[in-house]
Amino acid sequence: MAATEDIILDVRAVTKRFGGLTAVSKVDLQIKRQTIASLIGPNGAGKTTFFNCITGFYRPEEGEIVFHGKPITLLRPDRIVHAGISRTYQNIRLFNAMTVMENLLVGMHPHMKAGAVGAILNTRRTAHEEQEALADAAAMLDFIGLSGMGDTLANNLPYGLQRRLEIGRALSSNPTLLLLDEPTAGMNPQETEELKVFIRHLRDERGLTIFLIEHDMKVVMSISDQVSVLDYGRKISEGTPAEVQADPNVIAAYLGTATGKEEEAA
Amino acid sequence: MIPRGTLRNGLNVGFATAFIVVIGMPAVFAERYIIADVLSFSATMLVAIFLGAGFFAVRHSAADSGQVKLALNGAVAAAVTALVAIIALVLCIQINASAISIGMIAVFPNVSGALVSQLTFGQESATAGYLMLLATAAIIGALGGLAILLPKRILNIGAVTLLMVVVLGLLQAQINTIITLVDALWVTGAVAIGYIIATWRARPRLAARVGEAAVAGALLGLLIGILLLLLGATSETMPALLGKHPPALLQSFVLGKSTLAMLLLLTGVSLALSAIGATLSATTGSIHRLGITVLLSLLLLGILNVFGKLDLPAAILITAVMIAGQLLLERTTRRSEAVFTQFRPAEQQNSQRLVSLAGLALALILPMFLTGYINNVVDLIGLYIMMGLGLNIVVGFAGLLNLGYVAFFTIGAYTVGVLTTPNAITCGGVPAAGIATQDIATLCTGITTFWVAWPAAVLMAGLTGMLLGIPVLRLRGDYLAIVTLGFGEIIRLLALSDVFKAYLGGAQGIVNIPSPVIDLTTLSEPLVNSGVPILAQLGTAISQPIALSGPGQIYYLILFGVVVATFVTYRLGKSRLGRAWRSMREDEAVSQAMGVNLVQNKLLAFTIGAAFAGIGGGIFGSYLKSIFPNSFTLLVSINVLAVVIIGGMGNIPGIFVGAVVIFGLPEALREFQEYRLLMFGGLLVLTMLLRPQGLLPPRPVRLEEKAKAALAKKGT
Repeated sequence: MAATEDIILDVRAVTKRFGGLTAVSKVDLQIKRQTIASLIGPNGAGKTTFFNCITGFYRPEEGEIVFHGKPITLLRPDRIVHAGISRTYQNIRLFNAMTVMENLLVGMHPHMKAGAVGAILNTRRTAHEEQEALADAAAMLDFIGLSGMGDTLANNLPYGLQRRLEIGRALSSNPTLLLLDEPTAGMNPQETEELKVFIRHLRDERGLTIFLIEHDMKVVMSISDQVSVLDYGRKISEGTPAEVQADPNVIAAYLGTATGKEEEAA
Repeated sequence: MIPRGTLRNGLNVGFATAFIVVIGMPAVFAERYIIADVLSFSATMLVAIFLGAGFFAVRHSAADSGQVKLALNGAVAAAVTALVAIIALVLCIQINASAISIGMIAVFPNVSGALVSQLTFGQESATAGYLMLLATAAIIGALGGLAILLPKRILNIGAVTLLMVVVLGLLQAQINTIITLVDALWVTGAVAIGYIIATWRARPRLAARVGEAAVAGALLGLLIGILLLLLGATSETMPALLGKHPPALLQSFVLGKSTLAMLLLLTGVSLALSAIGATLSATTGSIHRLGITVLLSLLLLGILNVFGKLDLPAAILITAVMIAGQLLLERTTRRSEAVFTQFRPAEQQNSQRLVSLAGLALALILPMFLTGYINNVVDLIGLYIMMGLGLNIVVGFAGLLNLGYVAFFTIGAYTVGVLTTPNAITCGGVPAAGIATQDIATLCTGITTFWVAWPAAVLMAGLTGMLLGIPVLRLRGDYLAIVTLGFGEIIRLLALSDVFKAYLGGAQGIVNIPSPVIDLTTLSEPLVNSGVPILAQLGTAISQPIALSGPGQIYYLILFGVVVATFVTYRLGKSRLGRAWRSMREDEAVSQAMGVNLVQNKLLAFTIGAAFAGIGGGIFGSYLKSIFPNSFTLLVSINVLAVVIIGGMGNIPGIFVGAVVIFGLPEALREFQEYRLLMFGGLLVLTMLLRPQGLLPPRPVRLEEKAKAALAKKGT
């Protein structure tokens, strides 16, 4: 077990219920700084619900979420971004009628300060901040390989580039923990390969911690430092990719057992 | 052979046309001529309908369809349209006849003999007339169908030209005195000289371009001055020039001025005009287009002034000028933009400032050219621009559909009304009705001037906007619309209620609201005594308080409000706040996940939007001098929303265009007043069908180049 200060995200016995349905049930999970952690599980296992609990969209009924040693359990989503957690979505959710640059600039919202008065009077501080933000956005545009497309409406980008823009927007808030919800969905093998390189780069060069939901087992097993498996809202397994792959519980969850779990999962 | 789409199209347009015919619009508009004694407005309307029916029936046909097929489709669609209208007309005549035969009054009172003869080319036999109408419709429809073969730019030029001729024709009586041809030629000439010099010398820097053009302009002014002197101009006489009316603008530089003053004025103004021309020769596409269009309009107004009315020769001349102008515009806009992009950022900014300054100067002198009635219309447009800009922040930027926007306008107007008149609030709790006139001055110490009440009105409106925002924070879309709609009614009913009668006047409203008065009399004496002639003149001018009572004076208050609202909208729109608003409109949840504080930003949008309505409402109250609860109905909210939607949501120039289209045209045409709501609905439907984004939708802001520059600067 790593030293406590190495744990960036510590989820303790979190439970989320929707009426009678328990979507996430007493899940414990720890993620170490500068690692890539994956969350897998069959459809409807509660993975995205778990993400929504971490990012503040859902308030868990029980349990606690500690980020950088501070509890964030009941914070609003916008406060959680300020704390340093940023995310992407399973079905891409960009600001469609805004340009690529504007999407990135909205991502920088948390670390900008200008208010209405500053904006109307265009004070020196506001103007300076805006210039800084523009420069950062230009750098980010380059980093995600969308240079030259900054003034395109997000809606008009091809699918693969929309994915990249969404990650770029999430990165714009300078997070320490990046949550990716099925980042390779809909990508061809080559794009998937590029994304793997990109995610590793984020961890190694930018020092980010990455937590991702992924269905593509090849991706999960090749890039993860740690894999957690959810099934019916419960964590049924955790460990290195090799450990998880060998776990009979996991095999049962995915392939079903003689007891007919398969039909239920479907 | 004939696709079903064609028939459906013809039927759709046909039902609309039948409606227009049955309510008697063609007969009403037959009196109004577009081109004197040649083309009436009702004929124009029918031609436009048939052309449109033909054009839109084939709009989606394959690009390679033959001419015969296109013409045939267009003809069928237009003929179906005419047929539906004729059937409706005949039916209505039958119904009328049977109603009258059993002693009732006509069911369709607008279906008259005049209407029928209007539609049947005055033929003796109605059947022959109807057949003629059908044939005419088919021919026009065929032309409409064939029009699709024309290149898009020709179509655009044609459409804009025709529209301009129609607008000029409709408004001819009101606008033919705005400017004389000589004045128009001088203004456009001076601007054109600047433009041409700057383009010809092709200097890459802004200062050189403007400087050289200004010198040329000054020379032109001097030349005109000398020419006028040679023609015999003195401080008492103005030589006769082209046209019936003396050139008011030039004349004002000549009469009552010494020769030196006249030469200086002419030189100075020409210099400024040429500088504007040089600026226009290197500016952004939209400003270039706008600038040239304004000049072109001046020229057209001048032509109209010489002819007095739009007769056939005038119409031909105007069409020719319009087409030439647009061809020119097409060729020059890209060049102008290319030069502009080569400017350094500081130069670009300076160029934009020059343009704003010129625009402001034009806005400042505008009322001098307009008659009282048109001034009234301009004021109304201004008020709606202000409200449109405010609602645009709430609906266009933040995406919060507000149907009770009139509430804030009401609060603005009532705040000014209450604070500037005697009532229970300003008279220490005593109802105004119980106070004798001579006691008002001693009792009602709470009465303030407009200049105190106005900011208070803005504050009150903004505050109410915020208060309304709190309970509806969680609502979106239709739910929000319903709640805000109710709020608008609540405010009106509160103003109407007897409970607040002592304060707000109930159904009688607030009357005798004083006009805003600019009182600078204390400054007058020192200025008169200063000994400097110009200052002394200024001192005499302000020795009496100036009351802003007429439409031409209130205009300046409204202009101020519009400038403030535009400026604030512009700055906010491109700021962090504007981006946060637009991201909320796109996807509230994601916006919050990007760190946008929804509560704070929504309340800000509500507050600022409401404050704009407060600015307008405050002026409205003291402009009309009396306000009644029933001036503030739901219809006002809907009007403002229509301005935003038709103009183009989220776009400042769009709001201006929307306000002009919706309030300018119908106000200026008395015949339209009756059909105003009908036209409104028609316009909304057409906009939704043809341009769902509005007439001038916002264009994506270009940021990448700027950002790259910022990055490069940071790196060094």
